[in-house]
This record gives sequence, C-alpha cells and structure tokens, in this order.
Amino acid sequence: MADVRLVNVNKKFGSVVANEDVNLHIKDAEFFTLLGPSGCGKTTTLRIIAGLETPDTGEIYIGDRLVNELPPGKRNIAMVFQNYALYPHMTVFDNIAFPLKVAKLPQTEIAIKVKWALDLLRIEELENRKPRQLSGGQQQRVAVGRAVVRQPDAFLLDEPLSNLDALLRLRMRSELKRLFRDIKATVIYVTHDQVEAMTMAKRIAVMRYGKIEQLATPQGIYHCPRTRFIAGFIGSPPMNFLDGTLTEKNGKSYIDLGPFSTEIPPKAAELIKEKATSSKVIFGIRPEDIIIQKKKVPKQVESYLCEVYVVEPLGSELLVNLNIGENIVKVKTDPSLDVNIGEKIWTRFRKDKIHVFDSKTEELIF
Amino acid sequence: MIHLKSRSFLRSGAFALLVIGIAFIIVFPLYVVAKNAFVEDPEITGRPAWPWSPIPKTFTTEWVYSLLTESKLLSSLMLTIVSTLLSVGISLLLATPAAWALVRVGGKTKTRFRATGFILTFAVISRMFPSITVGIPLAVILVRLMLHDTIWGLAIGFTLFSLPYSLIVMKSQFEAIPPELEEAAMVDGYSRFGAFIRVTLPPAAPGMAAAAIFSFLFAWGELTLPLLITSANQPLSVMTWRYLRGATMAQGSAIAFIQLIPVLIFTYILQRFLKPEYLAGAFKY
Repeated sequence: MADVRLVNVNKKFGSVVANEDVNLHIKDAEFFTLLGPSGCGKTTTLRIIAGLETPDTGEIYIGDRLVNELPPGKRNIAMVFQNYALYPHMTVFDNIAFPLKVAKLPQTEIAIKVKWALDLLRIEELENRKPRQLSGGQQQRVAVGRAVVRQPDAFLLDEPLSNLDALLRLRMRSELKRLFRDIKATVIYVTHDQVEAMTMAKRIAVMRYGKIEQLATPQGIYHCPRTRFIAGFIGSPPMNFLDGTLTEKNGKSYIDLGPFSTEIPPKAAELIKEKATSSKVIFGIRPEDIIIQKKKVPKQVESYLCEVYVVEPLGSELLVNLNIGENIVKVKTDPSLDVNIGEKIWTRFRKDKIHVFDSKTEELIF
Repeated sequence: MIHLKSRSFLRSGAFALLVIGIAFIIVFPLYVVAKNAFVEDPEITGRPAWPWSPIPKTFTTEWVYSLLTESKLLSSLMLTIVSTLLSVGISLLLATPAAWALVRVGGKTKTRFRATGFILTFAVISRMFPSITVGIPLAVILVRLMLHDTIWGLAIGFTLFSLPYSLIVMKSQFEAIPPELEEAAMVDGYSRFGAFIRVTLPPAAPGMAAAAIFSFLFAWGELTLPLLITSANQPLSVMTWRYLRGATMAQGSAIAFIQLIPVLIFTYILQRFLKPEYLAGAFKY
C-alpha cells in the first residue's frame, strides 16, 4: 500500500472544467471518499489517478513515484467500476486471475492468490461460473475480488454499490469497509451518496464544479460544513435554511427570520459584521437541532409557536414539517410525540448548533 | 397456477409452430435444388406425379460428376473460394480496428459523433450506386495496377463492397461493449492494444461473425463486378451465368448445389458465434 498525491491537477473537456486545481493527499491505508453530485468531476479525478485520463496540468504521485507518464497497467492500482466490467468470456476464477496472469505470475501462485480472494469474499463455490450466471451482488464481489487479488498500492472504486438494490447495498457497505480495513488498503472511493461517504470514509472531499469545496472528516463536514451547498447535501434530511437579517436590540444580537427573531451569541454577531458581505444572511439548522413540544415553554426561554405542515413517521423517529413564514422546516423528533397537521407547536433552536452562511458567497460564517 | 402453465404451454407451442413454418419456407427451396441435382431428368421436367412426393424416386450423380470433370468449374470454384475468403479477411481486418476507432476515439464528445457520422457516410457512398458504376472505374484501376483478372483483383473488388457493411456492423457491435471492459483490462496491466485483443474482441465475436457471413455471401453471389474485372479467370458466379444459358433444369440444379455447399459449410462454422449472450454478465446498468 502507498499514499496517493495529486498536485494542482487541472482537466478540461472542451469548455467543461472537470478538475480545477485539485490538490489531494490520500494517506497510506486511508479510506478516502470523493463525494459530489453527478458531473462534479469526482470520477474524472479517479480516472486521472488510474491513468485512464491525462490531466492537462498537474502531477500525480503514487507512493514516491511520479506516475504521470505511466500507463494504467504500470501504476499498480486496482479499480472497481460502477458497472463491474467483468470479462464476460471468462469464468469467475479467470476473471480474478486475470491481473495476475497479465503479470505472468507462476500458475501455482496464481491459484493460491485467487483462492485467497475467493475465500475473502466468500464466493468459493462460484469459481467456475461465467459472469452471466451470477446475481448482481455476486458480480460485485467478483469485481472486488479482481481488485483485491493484486494487492495493489491503492484501490480506486467508482460508485461500486450504486447498482445494487437497497438492502444489498447496506450489507456490502459494511462488508467493504471491514474488508479494506482488514487488508490495510489505501482506498479512493467515489460516490454521490452522502450516506455511503459518511459511513465508510475516514476523510471526505466534497467536490463541486470540478473543485474541492471541503476536505474533512465525516464529523467535520457534518458539523462544520464550509458552504451552504455542503450543508444542504449532507445529512438525511439535510440542513434547513432560512433567509434572515442581522438586527440588534438592547445590546443583544438577533437574526430576523420574518415571523420571529432568534437571538444569536455575540461572537456570531461579531463574525457576521466582520465577514459577511451584507447584513442579509442565511440561517441554517439541522433537523435534529430543533426542539418541539406541545407544552408551553417557560417565558425566559426563547421559543416560537409554529404550525405543523405535515408529519412523516419513520418508525424510529418522526419528521415534523413546520411552516415558518414561507418556508418549510424539517424537524427530527421522538416518535412518541403526538402531533397533527395544522396544530400549533412550541419550537426552539439549540443555540450551540446554529449556523450562519453569507447570503452572497454562501460560505459558512459561524 | 394451472391456468398460467397451460397458457405458457400454448404460447411455446405456437412459437414452435411459427419457427417450423419459417424454417420450412427457408429450407424447402434448398431441398428441391439438392433433390433435383441428383435425380434423373424425367423426374424434373416430366409431368409431376400426383400426389406429389418429396422423396426422390431415382438417383444419379451424372450431373454433378460431369460438371466437376468436364468444365473449368473446379478451378473456377477454387478461385471463388480463395478470393471470397481473402475479401472476408481483408474486410474484417480493416473494418474491426476502423469501427473501434470510430466508437472509442474522442470519448463521448459531440465532435466524435459528428466525425463518425461523416466518415460513415463516406464509407457507405460506394454502396449507394449499382455495382456497374463502381465496377467500370475499378476495372480501369485494376488494369493499371496489373491486378485485372487476378485473385487479388477480385478480392479487392469484393472488399470494396463488403467493407462499408462490415464497418457498420462492427460499429454497432463495439457500441454495445462498454469501454470500461477495456479500461479494466488496461488497469489490470494490458496495453490498449492488448486490452483490445484480449478483452474487447472476444465479446465482439457475434458482430465479426455477422460481418464475415455477409461479406462471404456478397462476394460469393456477386456477378456484375467479376464480369467487369475478370476475363480468363472467372469466378463461379460468372461461370454459372454462362453455363445456365442452354443448360437443363438438372444441370442448373447441379451447379446450384455445388454453389450451395461451401456457403453452408462457412455459415455453419460461423453461426455458433452468433449468440447474443456473449456479452451477458459483463456489466450492469
């Protein structure tokens, strides 16, 4: 295994910018995820690392080697494709043995390694089947097997789970995470699914328009999203946003949200004055950081009476949609709460969990 | 459950009948030719017996034997087989890499699609005119190249006509194979060419077989072009054409039968590649 470094990588397809100044350092044995909506350039980045695309400018290092000039086969990396790309005319055994045969390993060694991979992925009984005789999940395992058997410097995975049905995806998610940790692999995992990224990765790079918008741990991205886009992309459901204006009254700072104002810590007000392009801001709060109750809240605690728009029970939790002015805000709460559409309910925010974004740049201020 | 079963039984029964019907329409004329090539003349030209029976009443190898011994037919047959196979080979050898390039080079860009359309149009233009309009200038060129009336001249002529078709067939074939297959092989250690040979070509077998069969049949049956570009060494089609003027029905059947055999052998060998499941299981959408 080795680390992977990208230095100032740029790539354009015609006038479309796929990668702009991408700098990454993926550490040895790290599970690293490139996350972003489709067309954000994450797959291009992966293909540049693999050598399937040539960057316009920039350098790619795998371990200590500068690999820009090396063809994919000489980079000692393994790749799992979204559609698996199994060789249809070969058996499972031959599919997995393929990279070893290309490397001209002796037969006995190939047999041992393939057996190890088959065993690791628990598909020993399938070794003589052709890909067309396998289920989707089995095909996926073979594709992973073909990657694992080489013991490469790094694994590149391009949306490997997106073609599986929901239940199988859930199982393979944890299985893959464990598998790659057990073999101490450097993994670069491309996905558009924020849940996959959050659950599997040690670090996540969120990409948008070919640029890395934030690079942090899953916790870091969740609690400190650098932009409104990221805050609205991560979490299910994602963060709620309300347009607001900074106001001051009696020496205290508030954000005026329309129907009501909410007090913010003095430090937040200071930061807004210092960094924001205007007093107009975007107020953000996650669904689990809004507290609702039917009983009246004591007067000294800031709270507001909101109307319930709709209630979505999820079994383990309850999603309550509230009308706040023109907006609908989602609240994650305890399923024991008994509320109905149209009811008024007491609402308050966890003051330590509020976020403020600039209305123009949409960057996080507080 | 029973209801479902009986319905599917009915459906498969109807399907079987349909297949038998189609097969009959295709095979029956071939059978009549084969039968007429080996029966005494009166059985062919005489008044048909009633009820008509498909089983031959007489048997003779006279017609086929005399054809194979007396005339130049054997050398003509050899010329046809060799020039046809040559043109099939050249056609595939050129069309396969060309089609791959049309499909893969330039990725999924607009420029690539436009260029592909442009090149394909040009390739197909030669097929938009009757053979004679292309055959006459070709004859002139072949004379200058000293290839007139040779096996190579014939092979080149045939290729001219089968190449565009092979190109179109191979293009659709490669479009059906995801580029990831080659990319996987390249990541696994092959060069682009190695990946093409080892991983892209095997699943492309049905397309290659279809293109080969088409090229073969075209060259085998083409009359106009060989008439123009050969004189002393004429292929079977021209021989047949000359021979049929003044031949009896039995002699005609015999020469048709002789023409039929190589075609049957060739298509029989290649038809086992015409399986759609060659690509199955390679990828998932």
